[in-house]
Amino acid sequence: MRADVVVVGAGPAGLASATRLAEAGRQVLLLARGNGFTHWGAGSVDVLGRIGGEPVERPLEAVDRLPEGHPYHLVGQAAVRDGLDWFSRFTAAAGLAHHGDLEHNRGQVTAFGTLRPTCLVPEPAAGELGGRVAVVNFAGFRDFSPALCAQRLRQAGIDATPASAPLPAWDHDRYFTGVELARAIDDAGFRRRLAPGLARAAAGADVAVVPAVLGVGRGHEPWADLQSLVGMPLVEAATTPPSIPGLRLFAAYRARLEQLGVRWQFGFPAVGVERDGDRVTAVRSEGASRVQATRCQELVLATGGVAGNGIEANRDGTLTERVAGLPVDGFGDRLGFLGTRFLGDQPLAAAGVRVDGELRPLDASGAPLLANVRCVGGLLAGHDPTVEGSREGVALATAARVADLLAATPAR
Amino acid sequence: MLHVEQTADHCIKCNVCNTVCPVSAVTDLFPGPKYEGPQGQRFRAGIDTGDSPDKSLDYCSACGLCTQACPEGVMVAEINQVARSRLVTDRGGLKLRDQIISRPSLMGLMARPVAPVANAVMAAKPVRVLVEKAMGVHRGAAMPKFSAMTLRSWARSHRDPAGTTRTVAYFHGCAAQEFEPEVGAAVVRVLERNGARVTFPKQGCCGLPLVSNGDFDAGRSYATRLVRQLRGSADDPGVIVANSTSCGMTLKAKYRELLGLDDADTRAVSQAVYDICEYLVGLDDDGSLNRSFAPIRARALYHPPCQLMAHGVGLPALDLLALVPGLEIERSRAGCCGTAGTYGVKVEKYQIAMDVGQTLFDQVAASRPDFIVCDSETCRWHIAKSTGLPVYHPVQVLDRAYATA
Repeated sequence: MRADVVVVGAGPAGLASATRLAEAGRQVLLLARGNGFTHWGAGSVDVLGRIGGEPVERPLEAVDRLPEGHPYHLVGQAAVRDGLDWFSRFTAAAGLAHHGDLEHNRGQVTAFGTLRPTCLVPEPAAGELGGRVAVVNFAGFRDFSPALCAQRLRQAGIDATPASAPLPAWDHDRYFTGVELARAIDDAGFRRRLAPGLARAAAGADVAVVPAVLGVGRGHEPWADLQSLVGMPLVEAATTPPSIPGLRLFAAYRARLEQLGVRWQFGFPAVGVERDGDRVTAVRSEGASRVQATRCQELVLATGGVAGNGIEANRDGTLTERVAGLPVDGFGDRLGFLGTRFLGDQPLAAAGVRVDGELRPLDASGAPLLANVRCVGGLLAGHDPTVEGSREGVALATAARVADLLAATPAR
Repeated sequence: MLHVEQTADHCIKCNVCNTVCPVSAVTDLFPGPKYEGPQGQRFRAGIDTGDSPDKSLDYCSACGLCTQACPEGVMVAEINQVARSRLVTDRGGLKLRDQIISRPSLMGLMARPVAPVANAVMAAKPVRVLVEKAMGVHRGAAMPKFSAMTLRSWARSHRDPAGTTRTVAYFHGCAAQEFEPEVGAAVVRVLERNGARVTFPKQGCCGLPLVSNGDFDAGRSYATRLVRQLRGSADDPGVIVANSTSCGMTLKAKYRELLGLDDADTRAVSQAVYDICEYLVGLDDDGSLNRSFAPIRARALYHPPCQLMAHGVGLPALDLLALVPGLEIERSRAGCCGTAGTYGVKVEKYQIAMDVGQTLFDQVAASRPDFIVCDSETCRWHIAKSTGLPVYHPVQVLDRAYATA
């Protein structure tokens, strides 16, 4: 097989890179072992939520305070801005408008009633939680507890009260998932039957928080429609995976990639590369019965860190980058992987590939290793996307940089 | 390599597989691949009785989309298929209907001498009602027509062209042999246009319908026989092309993954198998594909079968069709057409197959192409019956473009 650019990975960085490179006229093949972080995240864009455990209010300003070697320093503030601007335009055009800006973080309400710091939130999650807030679940949906959510919101000074709205008769007689409920809500007739009960449950409130299940196949239209039927602002709370806002985002990427003629292949991981000197000439990926080579001019690795399967943690404490065998700083032994607090800093989560300003991997001495390989997103060293809340910001900023670097090269 | 069932240990319970399952999206009879697969697997470990916790896994169509979506390498669909085979064993084997529809080569052998009569009988509505009642084959399901002439009898009178530069063995499978010799003939002509001499090694059914219906023992005996038959071709000429997407996938991977056949002979055969479009794209990569195609001025919709995605070779047909001047190709947005081999012909599953296929049928109704292109035969029959449009194998389109060039 043959491609101009091969992008490996279908998380936030891989999807944005593939889309932007195709928009820049490159012919792209997207290879992925499976779906990525879109399906687990909150559908929002985290740029920088915390530094040293302290919440960040102004993400763009705070970037300066990040340690040297952080991906934001490598690509610069202009790329961060470009990444988010592009994302805002792309999602708006796809019917998935996001609200927010790089100057301020905002709180996105979650099923636990916490307000997670993030930068851009999908429009259905963007409403103000002012005045009286009804936290409403749909009866029978087991992945959302309005009592828990409301209790935490009250602790944050929000006047929240739990409630439950009945579901109209529908054709599931067993336990159902958020995706099944969201598919039902895609139907306009179902929404008309759902709205009166929701309005009664939230009566007297100024705004209603509901689980993020308001449609999955039609962008934000079901949310907007239900909101007007109920006659009050509805705010979607992020729930457990699979993330329905993330599924909407993935569907938008997929439609755009298809429109741009991008090929993709899911389920068969890239397992190696073929090299000629300092250039990669082909990517090797698993097939049903044999490993096959796809020749390419450029390779973009968006495979993620250890959690994303871009890096393998070995029993002796060393770390291995899985596709090109790039060097990753490991640890003396496995104990080095771990921090002392489960949800605190975890050295393993910050492990990654060191790159130069053009996102090319470096060898142990700091010299560029491969001229036509770029690393983006969670694979990069120098940041912990989860603890600092920077996953989508780093993904979009590095995708912006890659699009900028590779757009200039004409397709051969 | 991990055994299929051991991959359940990699499940992180993220539910991504459930979001892509086309069956659970349209029926409550199947709760979704995660619940049946990695989650159910814990109860099937043989610690207690090894019984399946939930017999609804019989409603899995084995389309495999869940396995491809899994970020952790869990072989979700395959776990379900192995579990289903245990259910079938526990029930004392396949029901009569499933035994019959799982043996296309046997059906062909019986029907061929009376093909026109058999086809006329099977086209009669009252007969289909009877067959539905007696056998459980839905009256509305697409049925292939038996061909009076088999592909191999066509091949006997076919003369190799002069000046060939390469040789490939052809695994035509049952469909081209019994029902669609015209597809097989197109495969041969297209290969010959590319300088290939085509050999026809002796061959039988690959056993896929038996495997997907859950009779692994019977499937294994078909598999070992076919491996024996194709073993020589795996060395010489070293390339075995297949135009049946699902049979090719079975030879490539399912003998190993599902039937546990991992001997040197099976490996040699599976590594020599190429999907016909995969093989032709390989020629193009080396600059040796004959690109003299005449224009076909038409609009077509291409539907990649779910089983093609399981080859892990991308969408080679799309690359080839793009080389035909004048041909406008729209890509299907559906992950599965619904029929998944013999699944959609069963009376209890026919409506599910139609509902799963609705995404595709709606797209066809909206874009009104001149014809549809699809690699897999059971998909072609199902889509043709459901849309009323002609559905061709990609190689038939190439054959036509070569013929008029």
